[in-house]
Amino acid sequence: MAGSGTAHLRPADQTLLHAEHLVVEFPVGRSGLKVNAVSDVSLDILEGETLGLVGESGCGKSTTARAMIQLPPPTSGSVVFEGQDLTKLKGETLRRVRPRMQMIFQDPISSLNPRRKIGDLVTEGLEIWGIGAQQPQRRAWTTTAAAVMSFILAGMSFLAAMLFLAQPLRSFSLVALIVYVLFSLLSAAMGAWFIRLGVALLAREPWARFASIVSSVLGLLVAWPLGIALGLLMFTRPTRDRDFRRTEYQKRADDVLDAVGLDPEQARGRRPHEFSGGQCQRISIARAVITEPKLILCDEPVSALDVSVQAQILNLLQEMKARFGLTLVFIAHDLAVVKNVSDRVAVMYLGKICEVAQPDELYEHPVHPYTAALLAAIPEPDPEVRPSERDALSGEIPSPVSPPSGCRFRTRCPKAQQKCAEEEPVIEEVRPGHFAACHFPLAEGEELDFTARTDAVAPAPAAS
Amino acid sequence: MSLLRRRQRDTAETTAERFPAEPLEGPLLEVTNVKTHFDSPRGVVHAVDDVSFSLDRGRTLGIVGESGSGKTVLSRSVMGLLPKKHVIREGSITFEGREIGNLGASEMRHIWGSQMAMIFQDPMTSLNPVMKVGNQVTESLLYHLDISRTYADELAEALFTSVGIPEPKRRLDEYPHQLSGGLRQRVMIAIALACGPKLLFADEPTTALDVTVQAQILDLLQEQQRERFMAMILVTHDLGVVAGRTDDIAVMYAGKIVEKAPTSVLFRNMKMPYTEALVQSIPKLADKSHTRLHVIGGRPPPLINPPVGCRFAPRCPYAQEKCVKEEPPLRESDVPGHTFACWFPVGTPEGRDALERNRAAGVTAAVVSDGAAAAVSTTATEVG
Repeated sequence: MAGSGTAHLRPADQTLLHAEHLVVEFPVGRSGLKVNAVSDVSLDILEGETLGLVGESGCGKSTTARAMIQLPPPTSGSVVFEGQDLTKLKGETLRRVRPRMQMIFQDPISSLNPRRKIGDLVTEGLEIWGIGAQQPQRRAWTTTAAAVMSFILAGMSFLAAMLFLAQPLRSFSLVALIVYVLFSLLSAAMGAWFIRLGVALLAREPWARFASIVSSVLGLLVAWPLGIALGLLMFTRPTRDRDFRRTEYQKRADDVLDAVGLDPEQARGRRPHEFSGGQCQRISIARAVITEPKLILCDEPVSALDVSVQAQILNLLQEMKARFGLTLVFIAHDLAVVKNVSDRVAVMYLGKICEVAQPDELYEHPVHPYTAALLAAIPEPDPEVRPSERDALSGEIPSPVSPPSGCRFRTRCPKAQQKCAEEEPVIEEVRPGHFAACHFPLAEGEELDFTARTDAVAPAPAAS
Repeated sequence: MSLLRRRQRDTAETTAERFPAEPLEGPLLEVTNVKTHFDSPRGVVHAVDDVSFSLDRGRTLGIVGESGSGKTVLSRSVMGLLPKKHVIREGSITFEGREIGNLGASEMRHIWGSQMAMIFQDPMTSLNPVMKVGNQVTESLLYHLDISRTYADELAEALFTSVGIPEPKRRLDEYPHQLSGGLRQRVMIAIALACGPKLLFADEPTTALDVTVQAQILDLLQEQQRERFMAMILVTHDLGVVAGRTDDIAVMYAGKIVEKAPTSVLFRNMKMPYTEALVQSIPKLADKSHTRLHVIGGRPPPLINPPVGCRFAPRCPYAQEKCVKEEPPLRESDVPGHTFACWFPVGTPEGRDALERNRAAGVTAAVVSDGAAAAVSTTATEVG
């Protein structure tokens, strides 16, 4: 299977995310071997599209999706998101793209911090990014306040230290010591508080860095009564500012919680253990959409849920997509689920793409033997469809440390020939809009015969 | 295979005095009015409430329900795997005509493995990570059967072969973390089958596995069950898993069996609205993509103080006044072996009538008359 190639990609200027030749490798201890988790995968997503990624566990579907959002960045390859090559970004510039890409994880309960309240969990993204509440003028005001603060802080710490040192050792008095300790503590507390604010602002306003340096120098020259007076003033004002942001964030959080079908009044003050799996997944969705992302990566969001709850979450995702104009990458191993949500489905096997097509087309006429095998393995909720015993794909996924040569699926493929071991198939357009990487694709209406396994190619050497 | 057959004969001999040979008549397992309640600080949790069923030799029963419906607690109650403290139990469980509901762990130890065995959901956490898998298989063989170490090893190898583990000899010497999820589940099955139990519980055996591996494991279970003429109880939340593979299905909701029928009858002629809703909520391959899924609004009732009347009423599209006030008994339908608990069954004139009335009113009777239940369900108001 599988194959490399970019035949299925659409012009880069039309896509929201365009990933080409992604390779992700992980070292195996110090042995020098490496796990070929993703080998030359290219994928793209149009704006507003849902891309479904399917495959068995260990096929690299999560790794591919995570490489797209640089968690971790791929070993090689490029990911262009909104015209920006993410693989070239680093540190702060990359961090700034992050609120535009969010993730929803498989296990809803363990992906929420059990000690935090739902209200805080949902607003966390807003607090980190300061999105929404602060208008530009307001931000300028806080930056000025921060500069003044740093100036006072520097003055106070300096004076506290000076006064303590100037105290003649022989006239040691307990009262004086307590006063100095209190002063130092006060300035340290203010310092810690200020540094947090300052760092947050520095991230946003480049000139604040300069302002804080200047003010620190100036601070050394100023008398302390002024410092205390201003300090007290400042202590009260930023708190009011924070409260203002809090209420603003709270409003946003309430809207989002309401949108995901939870009662904000009830949910806000509770903690994750008080909710069921389905509700926790709703909270995760609320957390993801609150920063108004463009792209959400759903990594098996319904695999841990019951069927009835699964249906609720799938419907909710569709709804969120329409309401917030989202683009989704949807990972699952259940093909029926993927079919329901996706606009385009990519089937993966052992770090390669086998087949890409519209879901209806893919499920109607699977071209790649692996897709056909996956489809045959789904238990149908209908007792008339007796699962025939040979209709199962035998064997297990080979080790990604030493993947088979040629087509990676050939060790389990009933149609495998000598050619499959020698030559790696490349992704080609089989039908309009339907791409597959296979030397011997299934013809329309052809049934995959699982008994036709040719053992001639089974014990083939691994590719290095 | 001949080794396995010899082993089964041995099992019969060694356990003969503990389990005097019963004539192969009557049900293998009979569960009557079993209640399992947990005494929690918040009140008594009615996890399993008045459940009865019986299972014949060589038959398979599927128990289906949402999480929290009591299906796992039920199977653990039958296996005697629940803690002694804070558990209130009632009712009788008879296995081959012998009451086992009140047996202690020391007595159950002769039953576990040799008479009844269980396969758990998560193959990683249910295997001992610091013990070679081979030893985990031979452990029960050596305990129950009077055989030598080398013979037990041979048996374990034969078992591994029969459950489809490649290179069984090498695998015996490996630890669970060296095996994939599918292989681990095969090891679990080998352990469960080791002493040739008459009854096998499979508690969500494939929930943690991939579709392809799931199909392999289910095929394996079915094959082994037929080959050994073993009774099997398959507990799952996925109707797709039980559809083609069980003789009967019992649907559980909030600690009660709400419908039980032969598999084909259940799917073709379901009477309970909950079963209908459960079947409809499964995304089907035959549907076009972006088909809106049917959802069951709200969520299961609290098991502390469950509502009076039908427990599904607050979420049921058919619910009427009567459903909220009176609890429907399990009654027989016209098909033998099909029982259900509903006042307004699906597909009957009363049911259609009830649904029409609710549609016309735009709200179900349960919501109108039971404000508390409605308030509960708004915490997870269904979008759509």
